[in-house]
Amino acid sequence: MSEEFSSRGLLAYLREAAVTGRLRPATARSRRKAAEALLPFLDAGEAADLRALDIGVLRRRIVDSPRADLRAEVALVYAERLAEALDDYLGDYLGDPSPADRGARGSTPPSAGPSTRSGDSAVTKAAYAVDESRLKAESPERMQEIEARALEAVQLRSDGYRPDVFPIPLGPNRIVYLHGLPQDLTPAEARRIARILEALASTDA
Amino acid sequence: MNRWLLVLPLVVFGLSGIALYALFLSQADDSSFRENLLPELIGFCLEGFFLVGLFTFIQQIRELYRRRELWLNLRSALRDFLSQLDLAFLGPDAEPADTRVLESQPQLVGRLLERIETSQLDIEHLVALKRVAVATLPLARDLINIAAQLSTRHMRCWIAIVSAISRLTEAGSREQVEGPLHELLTRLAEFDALKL
Repeated sequence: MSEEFSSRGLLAYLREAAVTGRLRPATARSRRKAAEALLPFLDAGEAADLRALDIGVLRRRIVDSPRADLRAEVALVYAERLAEALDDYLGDYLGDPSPADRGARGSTPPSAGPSTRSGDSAVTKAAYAVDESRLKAESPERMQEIEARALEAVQLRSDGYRPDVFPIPLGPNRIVYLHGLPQDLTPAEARRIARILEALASTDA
Repeated sequence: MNRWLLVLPLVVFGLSGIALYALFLSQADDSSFRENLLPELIGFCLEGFFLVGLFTFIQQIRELYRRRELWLNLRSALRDFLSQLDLAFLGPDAEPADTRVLESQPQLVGRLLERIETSQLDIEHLVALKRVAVATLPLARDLINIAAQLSTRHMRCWIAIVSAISRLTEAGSREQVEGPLHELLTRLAEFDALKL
């Protein structure tokens, strides 16, 4: 395994990039700090070969097992900077032959809200309760503004906090959500649900 | 305890000592230290002055530490708000504020207030702030008792902060987030300015 694809290679590149002018010193410094902060979250294989690192998975790992000395929201900002550093290092500097995989590194963080563009006009009408003819009379800029505000309203109203949904983590990247459980659920009813789930389980796995 | 009650013994011992010393000097001669009660009384006043002063000082320091601990407990409860706001206004290569700075540096609140008045938060941060409000509200309510131990003014400020957080949890638009957020930061700046 080549040393240059490792985390040590990345750190050396970031140190060198600031000196040689390949990156702005402030950018190189911030990316190096981000890389140093997130290296403990990498497993041995990922640290040895950064091409195997998926930033989306790293983000989930950070959210699932936060460290006391690194706030989760800061770690997510660092993850974005690490993704940029990896794009520069693996893609531009080393010429990694699989840039398509790197595109996946910037995948949406797990805490992100619902999709922002789907069903825009329906959302606008629903949120503002205006009739279609009035919407058509608006200028494109005003329309864009109304849509943006409506989307904000929708995202704020469905902020992902659902006290009635129980997440059950089964393993890495496998989470099952239970919804609609009655507040007065009895042990007998819980056992009944468990038996149904047992019946659904595959014996091949 | 009232600080004047602690200062009173110091004043009594100090003035008595000075008066006795002046009296002693006025009648000083070769035999002043023999069969004379005044030097002993002056010594008693000096001992009283320094011992009471020392104990008062220790008591004040301990009380200050206790109040500082309470203040830090309250400030820590709002750390996530400040952290999210700090990240919302973070420059491309700037470093996020240190946790200790978020929890104990009042200057940061002033800077954030200026930024929130001049810049616009993006939707991700608005949603994140609302989530933080939902998670923080029960704790902030429980901490009203702690704020009451500091002073009535601290408690009033904290209740206003809790009220702003409560409105934030129900926000459904940008204005409904930014309004309570501005209120929260203003009240927090007031809270920080109050003397411990």
